[in-house]
Amino acid sequence: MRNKKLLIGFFASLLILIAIEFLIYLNYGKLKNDILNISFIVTGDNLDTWENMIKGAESCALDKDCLVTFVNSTDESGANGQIELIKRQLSDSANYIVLCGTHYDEVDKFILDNKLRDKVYYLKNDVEYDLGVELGKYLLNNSNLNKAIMISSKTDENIINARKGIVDVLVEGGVSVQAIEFSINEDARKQRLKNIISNNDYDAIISMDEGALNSIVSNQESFLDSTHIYAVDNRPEAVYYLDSDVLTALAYRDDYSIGYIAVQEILTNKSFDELSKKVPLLYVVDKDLMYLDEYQKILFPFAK
Amino acid sequence: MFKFNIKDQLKRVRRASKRRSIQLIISLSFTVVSIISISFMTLAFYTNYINTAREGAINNNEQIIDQVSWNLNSYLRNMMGISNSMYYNVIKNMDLTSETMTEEMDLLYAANKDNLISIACISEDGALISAAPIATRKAGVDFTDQNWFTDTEEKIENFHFSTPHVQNMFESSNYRYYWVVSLSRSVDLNFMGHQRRGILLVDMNYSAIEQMFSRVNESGDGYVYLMDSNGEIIFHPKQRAIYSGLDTENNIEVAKYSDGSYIESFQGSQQSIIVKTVGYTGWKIVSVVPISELAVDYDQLRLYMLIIITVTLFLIVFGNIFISKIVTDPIRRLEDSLSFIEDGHFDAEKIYIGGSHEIRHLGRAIKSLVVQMRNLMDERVSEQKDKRKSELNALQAQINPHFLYNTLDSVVWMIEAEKYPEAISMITSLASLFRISLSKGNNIITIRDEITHAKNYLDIQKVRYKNKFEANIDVEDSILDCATIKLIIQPLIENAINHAVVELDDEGVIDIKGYEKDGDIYIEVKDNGMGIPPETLKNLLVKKTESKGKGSGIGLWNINQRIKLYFKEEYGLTIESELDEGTTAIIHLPKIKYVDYKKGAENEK
Repeated sequence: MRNKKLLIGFFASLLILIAIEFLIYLNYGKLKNDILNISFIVTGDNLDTWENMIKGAESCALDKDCLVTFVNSTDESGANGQIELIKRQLSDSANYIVLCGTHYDEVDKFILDNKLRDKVYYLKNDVEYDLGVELGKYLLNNSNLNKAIMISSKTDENIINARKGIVDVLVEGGVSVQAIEFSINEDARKQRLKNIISNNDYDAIISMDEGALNSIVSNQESFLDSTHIYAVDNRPEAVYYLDSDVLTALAYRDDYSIGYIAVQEILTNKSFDELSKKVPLLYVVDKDLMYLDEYQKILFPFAK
Repeated sequence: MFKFNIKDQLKRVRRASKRRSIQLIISLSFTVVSIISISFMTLAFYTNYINTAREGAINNNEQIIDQVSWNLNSYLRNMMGISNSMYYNVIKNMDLTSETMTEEMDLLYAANKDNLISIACISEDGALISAAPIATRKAGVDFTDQNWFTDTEEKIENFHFSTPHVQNMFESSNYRYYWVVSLSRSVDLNFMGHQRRGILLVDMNYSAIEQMFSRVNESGDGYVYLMDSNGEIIFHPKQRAIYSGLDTENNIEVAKYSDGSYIESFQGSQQSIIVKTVGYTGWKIVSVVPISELAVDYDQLRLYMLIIITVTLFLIVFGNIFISKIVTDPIRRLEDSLSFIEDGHFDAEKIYIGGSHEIRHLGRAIKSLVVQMRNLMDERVSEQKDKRKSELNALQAQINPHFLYNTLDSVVWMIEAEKYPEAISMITSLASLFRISLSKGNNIITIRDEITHAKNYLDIQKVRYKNKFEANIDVEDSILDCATIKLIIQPLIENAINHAVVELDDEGVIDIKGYEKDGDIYIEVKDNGMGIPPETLKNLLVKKTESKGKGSGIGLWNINQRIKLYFKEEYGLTIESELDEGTTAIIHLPKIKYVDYKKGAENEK
């Protein structure tokens, strides 16, 4: 009788042990295959502007069982466009969302209302302000300007923040700063620019976005020799203008590092500020500096 | 449905472990040995397998590195070939003023434009002689400031390969910038018949190198990177992150390694490093594979092995327990039998005979021993009984000489007094007394005979004591033919006479009653004497009390012992006494017919 109990106990235990280990074996495979999905939602009409950030994010995700996706929301769609994309990405099994756009307040309200704070990250929002501050400091230290004008072709939070940074520094330095926004119409823009230049005698023209820079460059013959053009721009075209002596200096945001750190922030659960402590994210570069080793590696991506 | 009480099982295990039972020792020892053996074997095979697999992976990586090295060498040779072709076929044979040089340069560029960004010939003072595809130097660019220029000027006999850099020397109509690796060499230029020195610059498209290494890095574990002899990175899959300070590489240390494979520790993890130097340039191709990734395919194997080991160990442990139980169960049962014997139960049928041949043999031997012990004990008991019977009977057989002397004296007195009938009666009674005393040597007689013996004694004693007492005998007829031990009533009468009625002033009375009650026989001898003090009463049946000078000398203890010896312990003699009232001696006997006793049927009752 006792032996019979022992036998029954043995077979029952063996079955349980095999069942547990079988489950572990199955789930092990499943665990190994779990990949983290991170979606970046950016603003703009195409993703070329974000190429550096894409490379940075993908570089960080490499070898870490992490998949990075970039989707863009057009400027016209505004906050609603971003919100729609957030919903779509989350339903498409995105584990985390990184927002690199604008319309911060409206999107933030949606995130709070839907308790998505632990899934949605904002890309560092004060980078643009810091960029403006750096450019302002460069202007004060490297030129004798009294009057500057900031030109933009659109208004979004990034431009507003960058402008604020420049203004805060220049005003403190006793420089008069004006900000204008171009209209959409190209001819009107051209005429306005001519008026600005001829009437006001600015020492520095600061382009705040690509539209403004394109207009400025196409009308550069209107400028006085004493007028220096500066730009806040991440595009290769801006680097070309710098190299071509169109621009005196360029305020450049290192999107590669920003994209890299954004992914690292999610993977390591450390804050963006902590991770970016020793990594410069902003550069103000002139012609003399741009081909130095440390700058050329940032300004000129390794093209295929 | 069986009930599994965990507490009981745990108690059992604890008890077994405290006792160090043979089953526990066997199963534990076998389990430990099995675990050690399996663990050792598994570890040995697993380690060997993993090491072999790891070495295989490293060898595989080495082959990949060799292939990459071959490809890179091939590419560099190709570039050097272009440079040689330009130099030996064009520059050396032509004058600088000739326009053919530019055409040849254009042709050469066109033929190799997939791998080239530009070819240029520059004079030793930094003047651009010829270039393809664009021959216009960018404003503000001074060739003599460029690293490739200064390196070539320092060592004019060698080819010089620069580290990757952005080419910014020539005018461009678009905003595309190319990363290049500059291959420069010192050349002899012909200028109107005079020899001048110059530099031939071939800017290799860096993307060719990047593609070569990216293809390798797409597959397999780890990555491959390229650095110059000083450790400066030429290509790294994460070079951008490294330049920005977002990631780190151990390139400076690895630059000191010679060709071969190494295991190093970097940022807290072990990695396998393979280094191969590219001959022409001194560049080093480095393969880095984290050790953990070398075995990543084996994680599932490890898990599988762990499962197999767990199940195997479980089977072994259980098997050990089960087998040791089967082996030791008979021993345990035999042990239980011995415990039973220890408790005094010498029942040979309860000895366990079973199990292996040896255990069965043990059991049979123990059983035989028990039987022998039992027989010996019974013999001993029987011997002791017989011995005691003999002693008591011998004692019983003694006749008090004072009684005989006084009785004969009385007879002499009667004869002298010519009281011949009284003398004859006394002699007759005496003869009858002796006859029954002897009873042909039998110790068991009928109650009738015992009563007769008592009557004879009373008759004698009445004469002697001149009828100082009266005796009444009332015995039921139904018990007269029952068996009794001889000489048990007379001693009681003797005591009654000697210790009770003799002392009385009035006439003493001795009543002898015999009756049946509850299936047994009771014979009472009652007197109306002074009684026995309690302290004397309690010792009467404890030890032999010899009669001093009176009576037949057979103590009450003797009577009690003989009854118990011949019959059971529950029978015997009891004395009841009341001071100033009298004493009653009660004999308790089993009711056995004398004829039955003689047949022997009730001998053991």
